[in-house]
Amino acid sequence: MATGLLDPASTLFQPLFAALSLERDPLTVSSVLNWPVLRYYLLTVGSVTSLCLVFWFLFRGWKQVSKLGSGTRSAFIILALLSLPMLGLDLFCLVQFTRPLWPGYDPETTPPAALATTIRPDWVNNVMALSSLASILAVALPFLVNLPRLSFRRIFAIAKLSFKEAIRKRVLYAFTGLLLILLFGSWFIPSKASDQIRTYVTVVFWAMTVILLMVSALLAAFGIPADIKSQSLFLIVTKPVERVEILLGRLLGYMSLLTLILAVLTGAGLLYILRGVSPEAAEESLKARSPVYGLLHYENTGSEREGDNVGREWGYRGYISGAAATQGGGQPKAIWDFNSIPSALASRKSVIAEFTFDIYRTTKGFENQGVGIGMAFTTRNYDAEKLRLEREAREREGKPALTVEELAEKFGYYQPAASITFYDYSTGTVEVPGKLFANAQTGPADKPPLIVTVTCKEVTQYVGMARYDLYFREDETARGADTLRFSWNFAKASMGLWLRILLVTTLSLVLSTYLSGVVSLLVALFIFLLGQFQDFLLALVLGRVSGGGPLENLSRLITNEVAGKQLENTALNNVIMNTDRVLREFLGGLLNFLPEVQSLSFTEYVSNGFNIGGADLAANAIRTIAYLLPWLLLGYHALREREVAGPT
Amino acid sequence: MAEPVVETQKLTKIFLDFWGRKKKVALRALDIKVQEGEIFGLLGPNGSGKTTTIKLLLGLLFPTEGRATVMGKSTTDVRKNELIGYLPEESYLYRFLNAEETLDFYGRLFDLPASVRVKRAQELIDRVGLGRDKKRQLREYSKGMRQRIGLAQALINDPKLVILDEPTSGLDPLGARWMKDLIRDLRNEGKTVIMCSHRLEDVQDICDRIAILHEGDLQSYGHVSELLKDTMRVEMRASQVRLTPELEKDLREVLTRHGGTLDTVGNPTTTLEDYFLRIVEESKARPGRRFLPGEQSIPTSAAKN
Repeated sequence: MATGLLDPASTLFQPLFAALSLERDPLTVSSVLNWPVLRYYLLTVGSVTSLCLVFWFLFRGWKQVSKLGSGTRSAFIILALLSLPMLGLDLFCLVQFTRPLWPGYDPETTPPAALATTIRPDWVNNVMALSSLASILAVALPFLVNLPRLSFRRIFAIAKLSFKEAIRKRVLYAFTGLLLILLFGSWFIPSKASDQIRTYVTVVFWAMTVILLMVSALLAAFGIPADIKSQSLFLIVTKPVERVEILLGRLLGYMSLLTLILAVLTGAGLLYILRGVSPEAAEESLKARSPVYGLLHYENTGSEREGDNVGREWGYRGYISGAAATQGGGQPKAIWDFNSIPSALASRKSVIAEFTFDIYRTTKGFENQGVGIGMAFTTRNYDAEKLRLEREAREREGKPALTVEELAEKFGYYQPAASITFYDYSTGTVEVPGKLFANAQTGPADKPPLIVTVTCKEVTQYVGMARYDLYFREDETARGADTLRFSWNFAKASMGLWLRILLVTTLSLVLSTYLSGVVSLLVALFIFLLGQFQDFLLALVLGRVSGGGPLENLSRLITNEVAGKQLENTALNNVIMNTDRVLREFLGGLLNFLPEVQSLSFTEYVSNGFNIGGADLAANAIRTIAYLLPWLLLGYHALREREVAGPT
Repeated sequence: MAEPVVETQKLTKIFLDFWGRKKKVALRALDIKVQEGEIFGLLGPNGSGKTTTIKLLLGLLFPTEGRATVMGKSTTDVRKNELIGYLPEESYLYRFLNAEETLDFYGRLFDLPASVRVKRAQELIDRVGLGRDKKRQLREYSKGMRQRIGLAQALINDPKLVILDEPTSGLDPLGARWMKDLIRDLRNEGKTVIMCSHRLEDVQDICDRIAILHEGDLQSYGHVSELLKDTMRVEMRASQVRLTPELEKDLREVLTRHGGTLDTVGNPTTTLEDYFLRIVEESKARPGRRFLPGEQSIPTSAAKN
């Protein structure tokens, strides 16, 4: 489901481990609410619901169906029959998982079956999505039939009970731990002046996340099992209460309490961070930058898509040197194409461009001395020849040289200085005339409206950059507004944490409808952690993890083989690798059922002073709720189908 | 004849283990009917299937075979619960709530509007005698008090059918008497009561009909008075006469003439419960009175007066 909400194709080819959590394109609502994504979601959920229908028939039989009312029974039978194609697809996928054992299988070119909906014709996927929808409706039918009977008064009563229960059982004591961290945390946190906000935001959010997630998991995992054990649930289910009302009431109660606590902690955390902010830290992070990103490519390096490789283990950045790559070749350049420029920037006097590059030194240089780079901002209307002629004409005629504004407005060109010095681990700033953006608004459609070209000015040094290292700030940069925007940004990051709390609470609660409290807690946290490591699991599925799959790794451990070395072509090793490939196929299927956890963490945005987009937050909220809906349906059936009482 | 309030047909419950094998047959093919307005008792030793029957009627367990209806509805239909009040053996109430909050909570579960909830909660708190303790959390209540508030929650919806699982268990004689009187009052109000109990004297006192279960099988079923009637024996009580050897001899001769024998003859005794309650009433009427060593206990006839 998680992957289902992304474009499957882009998921397959996103750079693994390449991006920090803030270095990604923000989601938009339309990126999660469109037919291909919805279709993938339906296929994923439907693959389970169609199997559930089969198991239900096997274990409950026709007797249960005959107990349904005549209208409901007819609807159920029709929907169940419509689910059959999806069941066929399930079986097909299960067979596909064994492909690594088939002759002619090429692991390099064959994508994992579970992630490869794109390999089927579109019309097949559409038909299967409709069949999935039928199976989902069949499973949801008892709930839908009872929907008019749901009473908010009952749900609210159970919510209020859960709220009071948590308060009167002194759950809030757990949060005194957070108070200790806030009171004494600064004793143990060394930080540079400029890192003050960054460090404090990280500590506050880390503490809030750990405590709130643990409390939410504990509350939700033990609520219903404790009620069953103490038999208090007997007195609830013997009232005219629908089982789903118990589930929703508990969820509402716990979420109300946790939301209240989160709001108080957010306020307290913000006050803690904002007291006595150093000017350096304010300059660095007391902001909520709204970046406008371009697309990066290189010139005169080994490849247009990659800069030079300086041997850094983390291959996130490409490097350009001050010297020509080849003798007689051109100067290496990093070029950002900005294909979309917000029109509001054109009316500003100036726009801030910020950059954070990495320095790779081949000579020692001087202490506290940065590296010089050249920067040029040109629009699609820039014509170097025309500008040269204009300059020559002016020189001939004795006219004054073109001003910065004239250059930007008439020629679409701005160069801040011949060389700009920047330092490692700090953010560089360039003020770009607003007129340049006005010039970029119109012009040839086949060219990017704005281009930024960066060169390294020192022959013996390298400068490393990635796509998200340079951007324009769309937000206004007034100081007072910055604090206000930072505070609102902090609140938005709390909303991301709220979504994670919702995720853990719902998972724990749903699992506790069938499992014991301890098992529910462990399984919920395990699913959450797997979601956290989704990138790694995807790399494992795609066979990009060094050392191979689980069995291959085990074999290497036993035989003391290093991870990078190719295994010998023996019968045993072939069995191991093929088994790993089959396991990876199943893991690929499992990936679809993991939650998107990483994208709900916005701490890095706040700590580095980047705005959290409202659309990004909304899209993540939609994804989280969409992920939880099938779980709630599962919880509804688990509670409905189970006998609350035991033999004694 | 009116439709029975509760009807079971071949109601069977078999508990299975993890692998689906039979673990225990808790109830086997039970066929009973409970009519409107009666007090029906379920009797049996531990593990006989009494509580299982109640749990099946309430939908807490699902039947393995057979079926049961409550007021014409299937036991799995939650709508039947609108007309049922249930008091479990132990009071499984939330102990962090007080009496008012408890009744308000269960009233909400019946979707009762606030005005009705408040009015009914107050009436029931008064009825079960917890007016002075209504603000205390239930964790501070004694067993008897919890049983009272448990009964109040069972009546919050003014039910037509009240199911009581061991209602007098753990209560002192005063509490037990209060509970039995209340059960009779419920019948007088037209409600149907199903109760199961170990205390046979309670069942005999208040139940109209009973079913006796043993190891999941129905062993006996009918009106208490009919089932307990011993037509082979004669009991007589006389007043205005003292028991003397002459009287006993005369009685023996009369009975021999009619072909019978005199088994026992003596002065009647009251029940310990009646005696105990009278002592307590006496104590209330004469504060400060206490039993002293050497003093003769109050005889039954004196206590009666």
